Amino acid sequence: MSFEERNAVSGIFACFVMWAIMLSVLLQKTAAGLFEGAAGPMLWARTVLWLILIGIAVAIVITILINIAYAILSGEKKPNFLQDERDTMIGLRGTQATLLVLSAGIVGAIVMLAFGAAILTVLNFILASCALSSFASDLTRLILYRRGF
Amino acid sequence: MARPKITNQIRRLRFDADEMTQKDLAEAVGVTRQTIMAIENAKYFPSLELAFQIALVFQKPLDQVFQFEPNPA
Repeated sequence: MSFEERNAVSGIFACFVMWAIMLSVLLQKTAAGLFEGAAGPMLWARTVLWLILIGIAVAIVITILINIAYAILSGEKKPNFLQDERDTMIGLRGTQATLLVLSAGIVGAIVMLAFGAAILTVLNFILASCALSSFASDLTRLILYRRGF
Repeated sequence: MARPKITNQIRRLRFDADEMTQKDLAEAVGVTRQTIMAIENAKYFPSLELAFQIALVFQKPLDQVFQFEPNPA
C-alpha cells in the first residue's frame, strides 16, 4: 500500500470520526437553542470553525496512527513518502469527485434558499456537502488504487 | 467503448535482468513499487515518459516492453 493509498484510507476514517463529532456537537447546540435568533448564524460559524480545527487535528492523528500501524504490520523499515504520476492521476480523479459533490451541494443550497428554507438549515446542508465531498474524494481514490484505472 | 489493450513484458524482462525486483525497478525510474505492480498487472497504463524510462532500464526499445492491441472495429 503506497503512502497516498494509506492517506485515502486514513481520510475515510477521519471522515467518520469527524461526522460523529460534528453531528453530536451541532445537534446538541441546536437542541439547546443556541443557534436561534439573529446571532445564531454567527455562533454556528464560530462553532464550525472550531470543529474544522479539531477535524484537522483528528485527521493528522489518524494519518500518523495508520502509518504506524501499517509500518508495524508490513514490517516496512524505511517509510516511503514518494508520490508518483499514478498518485497524481488518482488524486485528480479524487478532486473531480470532490468538485462534483460540492457543486451539487451548492446548487442544492441555492434551491433550498429559493424555496424558503431557514438559513441555518442551508448552512448545515452546505457543511454536510463539504464533508460528503471529502469522503467522496477519499473513497474514489481508494477504489481506483484497489481496482486500477 | 472498450478500452484498447496495452500489454507489457516487464515481469519477464525483470526476470531476465538477473531477477530484478519490483522495488529495484521502481527506484530506478522514480516511482513506487505499487505503481510498477499496477503496470505489470495492466491496472495502470504509464505515461509515455515513464514507459520510456522503464524501457531504458532494460536497454530495450519501447515496443519490446509495451505492446498495443487496438480494439477490433
